[in-house]
Amino acid sequence: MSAHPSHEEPVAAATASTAPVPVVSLRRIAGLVALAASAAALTGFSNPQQLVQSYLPAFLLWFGVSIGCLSMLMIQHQSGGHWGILLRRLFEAGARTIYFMPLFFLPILFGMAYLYPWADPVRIAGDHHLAEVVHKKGAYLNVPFFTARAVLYFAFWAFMARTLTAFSWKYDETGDREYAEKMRRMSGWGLLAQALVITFAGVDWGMSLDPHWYSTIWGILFMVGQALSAWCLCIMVVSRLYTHAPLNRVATSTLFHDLGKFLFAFVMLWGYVNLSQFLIIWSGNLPEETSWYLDRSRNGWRTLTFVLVGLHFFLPFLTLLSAGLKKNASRLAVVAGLLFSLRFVDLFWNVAPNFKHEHFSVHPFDLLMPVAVGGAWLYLFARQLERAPLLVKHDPQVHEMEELAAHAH
Amino acid sequence: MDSGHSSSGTSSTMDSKYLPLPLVAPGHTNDSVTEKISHMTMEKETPRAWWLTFLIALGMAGGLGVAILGLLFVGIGLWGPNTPVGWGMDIINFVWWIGIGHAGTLISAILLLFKQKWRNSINRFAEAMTLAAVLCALQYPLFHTGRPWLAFYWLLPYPNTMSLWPNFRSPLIWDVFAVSTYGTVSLLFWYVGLIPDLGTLRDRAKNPIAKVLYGMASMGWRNSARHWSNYEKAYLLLAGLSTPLVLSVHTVVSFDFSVSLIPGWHATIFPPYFVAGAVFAGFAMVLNLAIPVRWIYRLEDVITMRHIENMAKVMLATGLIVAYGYFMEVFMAWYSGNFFEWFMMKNRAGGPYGWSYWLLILCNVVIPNTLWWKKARTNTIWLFIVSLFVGVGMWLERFVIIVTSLYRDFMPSSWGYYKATEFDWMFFMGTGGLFLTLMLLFVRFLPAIPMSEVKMILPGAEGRARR
Repeated sequence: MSAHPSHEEPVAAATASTAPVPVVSLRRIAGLVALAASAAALTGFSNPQQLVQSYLPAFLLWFGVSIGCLSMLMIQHQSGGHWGILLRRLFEAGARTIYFMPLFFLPILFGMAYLYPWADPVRIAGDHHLAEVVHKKGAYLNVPFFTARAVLYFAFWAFMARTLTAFSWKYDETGDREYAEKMRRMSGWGLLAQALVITFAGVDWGMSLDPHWYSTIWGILFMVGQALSAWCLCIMVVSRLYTHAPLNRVATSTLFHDLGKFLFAFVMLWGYVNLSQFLIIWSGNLPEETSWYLDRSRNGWRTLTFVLVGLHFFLPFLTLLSAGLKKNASRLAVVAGLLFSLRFVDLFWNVAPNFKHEHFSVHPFDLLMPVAVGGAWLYLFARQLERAPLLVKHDPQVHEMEELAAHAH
Repeated sequence: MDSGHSSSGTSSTMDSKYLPLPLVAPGHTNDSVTEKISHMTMEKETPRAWWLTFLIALGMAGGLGVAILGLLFVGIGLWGPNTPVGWGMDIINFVWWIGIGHAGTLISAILLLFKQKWRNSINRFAEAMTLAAVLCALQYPLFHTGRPWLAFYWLLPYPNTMSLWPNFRSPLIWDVFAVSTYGTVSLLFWYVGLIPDLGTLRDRAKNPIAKVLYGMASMGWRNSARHWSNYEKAYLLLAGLSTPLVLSVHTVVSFDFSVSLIPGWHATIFPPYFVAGAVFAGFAMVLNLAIPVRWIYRLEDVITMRHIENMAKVMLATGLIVAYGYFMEVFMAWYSGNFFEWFMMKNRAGGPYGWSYWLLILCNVVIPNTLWWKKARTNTIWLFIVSLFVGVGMWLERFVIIVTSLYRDFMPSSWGYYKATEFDWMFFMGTGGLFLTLMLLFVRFLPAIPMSEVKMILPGAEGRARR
């Protein structure tokens, strides 16, 4: 161990040639989509405001998948369970895409004035209500502190993703259980720090879009949303990979049943957190809080609200009640895919009414941006997937899973 | 691809230190488990320690009788709440007791669905604790009406000649539904789980009266494959039904506060934060009961260190969620820029009741964080002390939320101070006595450790383990 200087990444055992076919095609297709969609987005430079405003929900969705993967990685190190082995390499690859997220954050940093009223001197000068709020919250909501916090968040995430993967690869290499213990211990305090970092990032990048508004459950809303996004994406990916080596050695319908149960639990949790926030604010009916929901209940936004309630909660809730559906990988992936697209709708619904509360409208860029960012994200994700074998080597649970899978076939 | 089996002799001895501790000490068989646990019930002499604690508990429960009589003769003026603090120990204690019950539901339902086998020897105990805690909690809404014989008409909505209905927008009426559902499902769950063991006790009973009573309660259990199949199905369905209850009950309790306008109550984080606090307090109470019982009845081989350590971990995790809630309240009070929110927070930590806030932080945040260390988690004496602190801390949490949000509201002219009366304390001590009495009776007359479920996790029974 001491032979490797700690700043040097250990070399994973696999090379690109051993990656399953779907990963390679995902990389190629995603790369092409990213290029095409980014080229289309170039036409938007005449309207930078619209460009950045459409970019933010797309960024929050895909960056959220990275962070959700990191959270789930730490949760499975703490909790154990066969699902964690099945998805561990996916989580690790997803978490490592965080290395590139500071680049993805640059448009937000440069377009801050278009997004956050408190960062726009022109708007502050013309609105004395806003000026009052900015005066009160200036200690927190100011450009230098905002930037410094973002640097801190990304540094934390990159450190966690990198260290946890390094331990995991070393474990593959040496078979020394001490690395499993290290990952478990690190995930303990890591989750605590993760909860705080997600909360502050959520306040900075989401809640402060409306500087008047505040809600104490907001951080949890972000955590649940990110975990759900990551979970949906991993179900979709693993549903294509489980018939290929090496995951075909361990995959069973029981495991997909478990993934489906977790998906069901996350959907319930999402509904629970959102309902809690809504019910408390609606019932309190205070002008500084309830305006947030009023914006989303009129001028056409109301329809989108009902779409979310119906498709983001009731539809997956009802379909996931079926055990048969949860055990069937491809059908489960359809539900996960639907939910994933609804994750974008949810973030759009959270973000966009701040920019256009007069009336509901969808700009072509609103739809283009998640595709462009998503293509780039998936390309990076596939590249990360190719860096290590998709199944961990030494965890004792692997053998249990192989035996179970052998009996099931 | 057989590289996974390449462990040499040295590495396999090294690996043994990572093996999980057993859930049942080695050497136990089906028969020895039955012997050991049945002996705790009526089969052997009552231990002297049991009589001693029972008499103390009964004496305390007598205090509840006195407090209730006083209340019925005089009225609820005997209690401390008065303008501006209109809610006091009655609701503090109600929320405290209801919260404690949550550990039982979590252990029996959620841990079952998550296939956590370590729940199997502590679940019965925790479920009984849930029932006793709900019963104690119910005393408050019942007797705070002053005329409990009329409470039924006031609390439950029913069509009546005067067309009077409770306010359906009030979370207090949601409470009635949430708590009564919770009580009913918990009772069913506990009873269904008991049936196979009651069958065992019936077969072993020598006393004819005991035989008849256990026989009636076991509902004709014959241990047949069909009985087991039906039993497993019913148990799993009840677990599914109970799972949402873990969240819903304390969520509704949190709505009692959060749907109002009072700074300090009106916070969107209340639902998840109350639920985590309830589980936190519940696990502390399970440990406070399990550690002495384990010691008195020499149960170290069925309630092993692994159970104890896992419970400590759940307590640490839920404690951290609660701490996150405290932190969010402070941060958002500051971030909101709302004068009243920030005033409430400063007043809570630095006003005349500031001591209660800092004591709460000590009990619920500082002390439980020692559980990060394995040494602290496996030292039963320390764990018992930590659990006591958590119990006190969770009581203080409700005290802080309720009293320090109310006593200084928007108008300085209406500020006041809350002081609990002797009757408040007597009532509270009395419910504690009631709780202990019920738990002691349970341990004496019913198998406190589920025999059938412990047998499922004995080595060699893996195939039959509950799925």
